[in-house]
Parts: sequence; structure tokens; C-alpha cells
Amino acid sequence: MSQQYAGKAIGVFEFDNLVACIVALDAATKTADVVVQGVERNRLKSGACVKIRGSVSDVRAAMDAALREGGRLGKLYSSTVIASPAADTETAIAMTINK
Amino acid sequence: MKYQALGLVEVLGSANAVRVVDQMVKTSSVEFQTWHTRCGGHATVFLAGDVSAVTAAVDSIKNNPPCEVTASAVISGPSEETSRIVHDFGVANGFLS
Repeated sequence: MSQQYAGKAIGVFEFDNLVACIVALDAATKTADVVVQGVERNRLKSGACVKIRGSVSDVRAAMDAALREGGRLGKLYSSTVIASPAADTETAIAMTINK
Repeated sequence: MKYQALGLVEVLGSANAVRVVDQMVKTSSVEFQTWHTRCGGHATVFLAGDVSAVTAAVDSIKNNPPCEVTASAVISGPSEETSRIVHDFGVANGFLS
């Protein structure tokens, strides 16, 4: 599953509720040509973590839009953009998706 | 699988989610897509329908909420990716084929 994402930049953001995450990923996918790798509802009270993949500039543009839209509805816990994840990072990213 | 509009409401507890779904479905012609009740007791309800129906349903929750509502939103014209994600949630929970 992670072969298709090899070499693509990754943007990860985490809000404190799922509604903000879905609105944010909708804004992100409308802004730039990015693919949503996964939405994970982790143990963080009720938040959700969204992973988007694409080229570096697409991911950056998408992240700006996502943080702006999602920020209206929920509190942002953390967000990051990694230009080119290492191979081990890749397995870590894919591993937690279907937990 | 393209939705005209998506309505999302997040409440505390699955029992409240049932009350929210019931009130929204009775308010306007929206179809219940799925919900996500996994983590921390927060349940997120996903509804689909045309923009006016979904907005009316979510507004009815905002104006007289049956319980404490964490967050609610209406997405008009969701992108392909958003529709795919919501559809995957539905399939995972067994509501959608």
C-alpha cells in the first residue's frame, strides 16, 4: 500500500474533533492535488489525525487551507509537513492506518 | 459516489448520536450515511442530501440541541477525496455497501 506514496511529501494535522478534520481535509483536497492516505481516530480523547500526500508545494498549499478551515471548528493539536519521508518513516506512517 | 452536501455533527455518546440522527432525519429529507463512534465516546454523525436539506437538518440541531453538541458543520460540494473517505467510513461500519 505504501509503494504508491513512496517519495511523495506528507502533511499531517490533528484536530481535537473529527468534524474539524473532515472539513479541513475537504478544503485541502479542493485547494491542491493531494491524496488522503488515512484518517485515524486515535486515543486522543476524540481527535483525529489526517495524513495527506502529494508533491511538496501541493502539500504545503493544502496544509495552509486545511489549518485555516479546520481552525474555525476545532483546536489544532499538531501539524507538520515532511518534504521527503525516509523509508522507515514510510512504514511507520502506513502501519498506524489500519490499527 | 458524489454527494451534493454532507452534514456532520459530533456529540458525546452513541445514545445522543441516535437522538441527533432521529431529529435530523425528521427535520428534512436527508439520508443517514454513517457514524463514527470509536474513540473517547464522541460520536460523529454523517448525513448526505442536497445543500438546503442538510443545512436545515444541521441548523435544527444547532437551534434546539437534544444534548451537548461538540461540533457541527455542513460541507457543500465535497471533493472526490472527502466522498471517498466518508464512503470508506460507511463501509467499515457496515452501513454502506
